[in-house]
Amino acid sequence: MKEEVLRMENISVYNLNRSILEDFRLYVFKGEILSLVGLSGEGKTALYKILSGENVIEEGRVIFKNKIYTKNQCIVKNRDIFCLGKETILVDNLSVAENIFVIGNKQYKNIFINYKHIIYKTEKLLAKYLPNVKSDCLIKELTQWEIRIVELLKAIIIKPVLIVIDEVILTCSKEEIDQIIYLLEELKNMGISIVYESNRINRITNISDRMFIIRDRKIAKILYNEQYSEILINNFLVGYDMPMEIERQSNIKNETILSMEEVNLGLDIHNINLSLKKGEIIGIFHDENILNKKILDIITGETKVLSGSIIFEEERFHPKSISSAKRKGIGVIPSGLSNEFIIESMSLEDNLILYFIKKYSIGKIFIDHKMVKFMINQFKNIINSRTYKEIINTYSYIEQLMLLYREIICNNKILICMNPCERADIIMKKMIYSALNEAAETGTGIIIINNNIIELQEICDTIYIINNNGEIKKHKIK
Amino acid sequence: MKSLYKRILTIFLILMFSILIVYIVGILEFAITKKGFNRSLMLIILVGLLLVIIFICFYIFICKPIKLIEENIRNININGGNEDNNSILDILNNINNIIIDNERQLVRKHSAEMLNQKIHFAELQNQINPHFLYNTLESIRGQAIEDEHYVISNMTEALAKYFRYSISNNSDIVKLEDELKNVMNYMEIQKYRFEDKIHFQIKFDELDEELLSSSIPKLTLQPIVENAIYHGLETKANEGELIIRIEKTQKRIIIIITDDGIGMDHITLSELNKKINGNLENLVETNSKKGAGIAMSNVNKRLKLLFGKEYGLNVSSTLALGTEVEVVIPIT
Repeated sequence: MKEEVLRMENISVYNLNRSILEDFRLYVFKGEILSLVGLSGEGKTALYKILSGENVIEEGRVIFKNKIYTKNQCIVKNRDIFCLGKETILVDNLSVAENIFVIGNKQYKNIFINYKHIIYKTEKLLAKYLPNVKSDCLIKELTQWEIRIVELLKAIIIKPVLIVIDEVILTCSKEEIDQIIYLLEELKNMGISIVYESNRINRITNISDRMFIIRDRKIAKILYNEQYSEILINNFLVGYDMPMEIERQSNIKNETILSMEEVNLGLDIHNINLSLKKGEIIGIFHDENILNKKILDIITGETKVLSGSIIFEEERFHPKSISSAKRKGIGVIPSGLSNEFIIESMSLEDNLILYFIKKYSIGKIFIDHKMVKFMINQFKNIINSRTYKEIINTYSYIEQLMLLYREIICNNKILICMNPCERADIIMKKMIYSALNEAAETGTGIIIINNNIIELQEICDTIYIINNNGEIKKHKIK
Repeated sequence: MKSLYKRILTIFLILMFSILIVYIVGILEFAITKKGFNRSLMLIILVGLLLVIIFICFYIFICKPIKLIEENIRNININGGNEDNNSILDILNNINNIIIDNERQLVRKHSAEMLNQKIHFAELQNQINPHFLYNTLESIRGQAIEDEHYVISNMTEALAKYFRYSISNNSDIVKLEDELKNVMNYMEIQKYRFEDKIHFQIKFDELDEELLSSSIPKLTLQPIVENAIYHGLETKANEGELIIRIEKTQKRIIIIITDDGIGMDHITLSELNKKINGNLENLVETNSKKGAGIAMSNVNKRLKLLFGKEYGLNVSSTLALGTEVEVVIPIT
């Protein structure tokens, strides 16, 4: 007999009169890892907000630890449900030890805190799971992955009944993901249930005991671990038999647009020999996604070159800043098509106008309105005009496509993409590859910086692999 | 005692005339003393007219509606309209009684329908003489064994077992073990038709000794399995899979019946869910239209009537990929 720790029945969620979830149901057993997989916009975050107590229950009911929460009630925030969302729960200016043992552990209610004991316990914990980090290290000094590990260590100490995770692994290396998996399994062995939300299958969803696939606002399929197969899961995600392989032809032209010869940055990375032709898509891979980012820094002038030469359009290139690189025709698409530069309360059209006004203004005073209008029309042709005017939050696909195409339609000579598929589900991934292919067809040289070798193999003509010694090897993809 | 309407009218009239008399006396006194008799007469007439207008308005907008309410309540009051009991409190009490009575009528109607349905089912059972059926099947089986047609004898035995379970007059609630045996028996029969086309499995925690002794309404699973075969797997070009998975928690049993058949598109699934979750009062109608045979909507409605609305069936499907039916029942 299994113990049910959480049950959600007939949950419906609405946003601006649009249904996000309809009659949704979920049940979680004690000590299991349950993955909740659905394409972007299928309501996973809405569910997360209900479970974390941020939002009220609009319809349906939630039963957690035998307590029933119904319409217009919020799940009371307590230590039994531990939520890890996109924003960290740790306090930046406090140390690892303080975050794990003081905040949220009722210690702060005591007058005296036994710091020695806390530090001892933290050191012991870190020695086992995160040996490179000290207990007195501030959170703001840690990397994204280290922050996630500290959060999971906090869960080990608090011992909640249920942990809800809203997609935490994005660009972690293989070893980093291994560590997260190890921690999740430790938590599972402690009898803690874990609900892991994701918009695609990955190594964490693959270790789950059960998988609930959300489609069309409801549960489309429940799969058990022995039934998992990438093709089957992706088909259920999209609702039809979708071909997995991405067909593309090479668009490489003879003209070299960018080349680096014996470029040296010092200890990190040296003797960079790299070339990019018109219409070519090259990938730069580093397992930890650190050294490959240096290539972007070189091109945008963020990192000074100690020796060697960079040739751009047959002339020596001395990049000074990202703006000067942009003026030369080098576009940069942010990591995971992140929406830092989108104003969420404005419509898609207004966001685009703002972007193109900034891009096509002379001395930030005179605006080339003709150019702005032309660009907006170009984008309108690409995106379905029926959804064009809606507020940007409604369609995450449209938002990501906007970020992608606003660079592509500018006809840059070089386009640099940082982990473009980081937040993408399988449909978005195909759209991204299709868009990059379109750009390559027009002669744009594309550089993709990524730590996912499989994704690079799907789209690139050539891959440069950087090892931890800073050496680069070139591999041509057939 | 007069009705509420008459009492209000009487009080208002008394008030009006009192005001009028006081006013007339006052005006006359003024007229006699101040020598303005004509003007006073004019004033009396004007005030009188005003009072008449006020009275008419009061009658139309207040007295008449109250009179109407009282009449209506009297007409539908099952305790009998009594002119002696018509204060505001009495009217409210009458309305409460009407509401309570309506609720009782609804419950009675619902129970009557349930009873009708039971009677209908019993009549159906009684039309088929089980003993005759079992004896005939046994004869066929015996003859088949004599003629060394073992496939026919096995099929006949399976069919006899199926009928013995389905149409016997035993309890409506059976053990899960028996219900699963019936499903396996049904699949045994289907195997002769589909051969190895359908791979069938039942998965559950074998270490849970109490699981199979759990109670379940009879003929809950077999109709769903039948649907999976006829609507999902029969028309599938390749081999198909049908899996029944059972999970037991402290309070519920969750049975998931999955097939990888042709599935349904979004519209068909939506229509099926509407049919399944339709009005409980249509239960008898559905039966009489379809004749014999227990449909999925029947199963869902039976479960909801027996256990409550949080139990029953949940159906999900993907075109060309398969269908999944989740049956949720409480542990009883």
